[in-house]
Amino acid sequence: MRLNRRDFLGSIAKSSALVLVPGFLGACAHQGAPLAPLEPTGPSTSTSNTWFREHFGIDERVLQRVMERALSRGGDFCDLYFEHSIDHSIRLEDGAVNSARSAVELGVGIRVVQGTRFGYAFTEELTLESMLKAAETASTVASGAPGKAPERFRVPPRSNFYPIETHWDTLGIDARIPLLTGINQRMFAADKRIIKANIGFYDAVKRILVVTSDGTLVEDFQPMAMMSASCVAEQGGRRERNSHALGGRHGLAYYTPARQEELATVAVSRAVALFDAVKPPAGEYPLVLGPGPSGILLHEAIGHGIEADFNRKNISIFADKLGKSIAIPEVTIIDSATHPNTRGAINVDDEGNPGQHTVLVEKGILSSYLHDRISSLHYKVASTGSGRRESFRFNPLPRMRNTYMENGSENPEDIIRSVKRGIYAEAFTNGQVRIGEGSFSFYISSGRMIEDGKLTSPIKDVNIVGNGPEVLARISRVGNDLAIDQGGWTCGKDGQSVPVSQGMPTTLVSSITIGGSRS
Amino acid sequence: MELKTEQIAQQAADIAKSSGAQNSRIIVTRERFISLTQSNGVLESIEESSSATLSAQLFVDGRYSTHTSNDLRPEALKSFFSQAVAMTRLLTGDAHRILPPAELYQGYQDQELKLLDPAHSSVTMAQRRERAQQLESSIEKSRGKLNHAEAGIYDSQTESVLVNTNGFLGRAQSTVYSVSINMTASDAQGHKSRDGDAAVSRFYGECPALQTIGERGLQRTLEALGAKPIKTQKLPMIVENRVAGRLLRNLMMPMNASALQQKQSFLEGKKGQILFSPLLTMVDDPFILGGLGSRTFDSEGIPARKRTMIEKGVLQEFWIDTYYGNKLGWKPTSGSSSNLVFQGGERDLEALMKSVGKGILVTGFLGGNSNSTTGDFSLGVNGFYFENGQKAQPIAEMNVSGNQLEFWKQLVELGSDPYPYSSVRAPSLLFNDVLFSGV
Repeated sequence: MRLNRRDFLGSIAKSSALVLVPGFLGACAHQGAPLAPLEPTGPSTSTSNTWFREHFGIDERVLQRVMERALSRGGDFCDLYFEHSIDHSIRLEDGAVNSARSAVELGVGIRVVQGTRFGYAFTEELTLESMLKAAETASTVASGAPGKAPERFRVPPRSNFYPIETHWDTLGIDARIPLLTGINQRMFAADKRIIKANIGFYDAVKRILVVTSDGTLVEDFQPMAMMSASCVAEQGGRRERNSHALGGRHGLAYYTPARQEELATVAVSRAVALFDAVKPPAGEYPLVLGPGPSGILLHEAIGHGIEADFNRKNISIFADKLGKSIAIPEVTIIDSATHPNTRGAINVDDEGNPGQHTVLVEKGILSSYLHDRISSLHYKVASTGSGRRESFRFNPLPRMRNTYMENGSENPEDIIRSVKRGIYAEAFTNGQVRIGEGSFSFYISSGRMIEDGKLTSPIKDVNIVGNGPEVLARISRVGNDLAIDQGGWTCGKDGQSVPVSQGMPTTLVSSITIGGSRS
Repeated sequence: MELKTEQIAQQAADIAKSSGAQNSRIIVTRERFISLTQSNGVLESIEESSSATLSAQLFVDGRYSTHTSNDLRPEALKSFFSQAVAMTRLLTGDAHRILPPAELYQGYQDQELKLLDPAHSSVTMAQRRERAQQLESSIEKSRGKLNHAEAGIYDSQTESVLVNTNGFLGRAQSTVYSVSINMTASDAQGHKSRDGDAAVSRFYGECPALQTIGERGLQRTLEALGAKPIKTQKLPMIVENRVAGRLLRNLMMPMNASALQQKQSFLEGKKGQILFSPLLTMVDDPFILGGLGSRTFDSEGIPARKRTMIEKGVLQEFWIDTYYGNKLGWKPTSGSSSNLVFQGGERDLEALMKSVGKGILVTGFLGGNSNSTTGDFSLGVNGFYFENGQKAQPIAEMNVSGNQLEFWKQLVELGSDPYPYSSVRAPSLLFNDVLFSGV
């Protein structure tokens, strides 16, 4: 029961603070939205690694002095994480785009590590004096002979997994407004039963500079965009609400007329479908997971459990399962930073390691944990580039990026046809896991009954609960229609939120507890 | 630090005005926090920092927007506000976006709520480390039964100043200290259990006995080992006070004016009706001394008032902020809750369990959600199956579903044990005939 800075008042009663919540209004997504085409980067490219030097005078001398102070009491290594971000969001409600929000953040976080112990301090003022003070604070965790700052810094090669044509900070909000009014019109045009529509749009540009005491210096420029449409429909005195979201590390060009149409029509059709919804049954039933957002199962059932910090401390239920068979050979699970423009894509992690593709489960065998630097030193393996943090205010932790299952060989229709009576799940709002026990849950916002091999009535809100290793072992069929979800997933751990993605082909779990309300 | 924060806020309001915002709300917040964790007798982590944030809500030519920045230098604020005002002008006008009516400020008193520990700045790092060490050593005798244990100390001091340019200035200062311990145990079959305990206080000296926190966390962790789902069935449900706030929050969401105006509330048009068990009385009380949700004004600068939200099962009031109140034609009260206090019962948790004999004690929720538009909810639960008032079997991976409007009528008793470490001071709650979904 760790209390976090951010939410210690709200979450005090929670004994496991690992919640996956949608980034914006409730995340839903549908299968197979194509990834944005790769295009060359715009003029203000971040590949120069000099942005913080040019804007804030953060040069090698400054870095060396701060690092020297950070290592003045010893320590195995230290790192500095500079961040400057600008976020915008606008909202359409009752027919008009009549509120906006912007946020500017600037600061540096300084970490000193000795073994698995760390000291951390940040400052919002990039003056040498403030940075030295923060370095001094972080250094207090260490004891030993003073360490040296690197004499030279080297810039590692870096990919570009999120090329975009125009940066958000060069566009006025008037460039964004017509998207929202257009989607609003489409929603009301789509169905006469719509009585309210809410559309939110969020974009951000984040510049980071990571510098490590072993001499790595790397900058990255990380864009983000998310459009979420939700609506309330009314029929015969009853109301239902549902939503859809599309986003990722995209620019304005991503929001094509086709995607605007998708946002409107999917939100509307999911809302009105609920008028015909039935209460799902309570008890154990087969569950067919639709392609795309169902990757939430992987995120909760295994993803958090194989973050290396939980295993290093022997907390996780997966702590003794490396190298063992945990699923049928058709199951291969990946966590990757390299899918272009996804929310979980990262060119470098927040410890300066290159963005990577990590095989977690290979043909049913658990093959790797997700490592940050502390755990990679502990386990004496290479980092998987999974060290991530919410902002300069937080220390990095092993985190997921884009978690998905590789395609199997089966036809999705055949998988549905094989179920006599069960549940088909296609959209979700949130999930959670208890790392030690392996218990996890996720909440279905759109789904259907399966009766005699056919999709029938929509189902009302229902939570699904299970045990990670048990449910993985019950995955019995894997489809060939993998989709990476384009919804707005945000993952929470130790009070820190980071953007993630997930994906899944149509998959059958032979039996799981459906939190229905019919006995 | 006090005067400076107020000056920054006033200065920012002036810059906002000269940049073109006829009115504004400025909130400046400064915080200093320290956090330590300790494991296996050594300090695992130490974090300490200060931050300052300015939030500006601008009212420009009948248009509205919100902006935050952590760069509080006057020269930076000038360009920040000129950009913010230019951005606001691109929005559609909205006559409902105004500051709270000034008459609400009349009679405002900055009364002493005992939220600030003046000794905070004199608490030393050595004292904190000593406290973390004591907390961790409270489970020393049982170390062999545990895979891992970690004790954590967190404390912070926060000061914020709110200025509404139509005549309100409020200042709030507070401290908070928390101690927490979490641990993991496993059994011979390889099952794991992870739990712990925590406490929060406003004053350094008011921390409960560390030994008790450690022992309680240990007991919770060990007795939950081997938890598994049992068969799907209807049983009485007792929700332990520590997690009861999770259920009550589902009820609070649809009581917000924004949900009501946006037609996303199953409570629309139901004020004055008996919707819940007649035992349910819920009071929003901002004036509890040392309370974790205590305040003299809310985030809009509306002076705090004590209000009965639900009385004997009758829905009495909503949380109404200025904007959605205007849209609905209702007078604003406050758009958010402070401390929530419940009319408790006579019996503690143990006595409640004895009185029902057989049922499920819920000690944790797992995920789940509640649809505020329809009231449909579905929540994962863990805890204990009990018989003859005694815990018989730890349970996990079960689920409870229903509709809020029916569910709260099944509330048959509240405990005498309000949870002290949350702004939602919920007692343990006993419900009849709850369908538990399991195997």
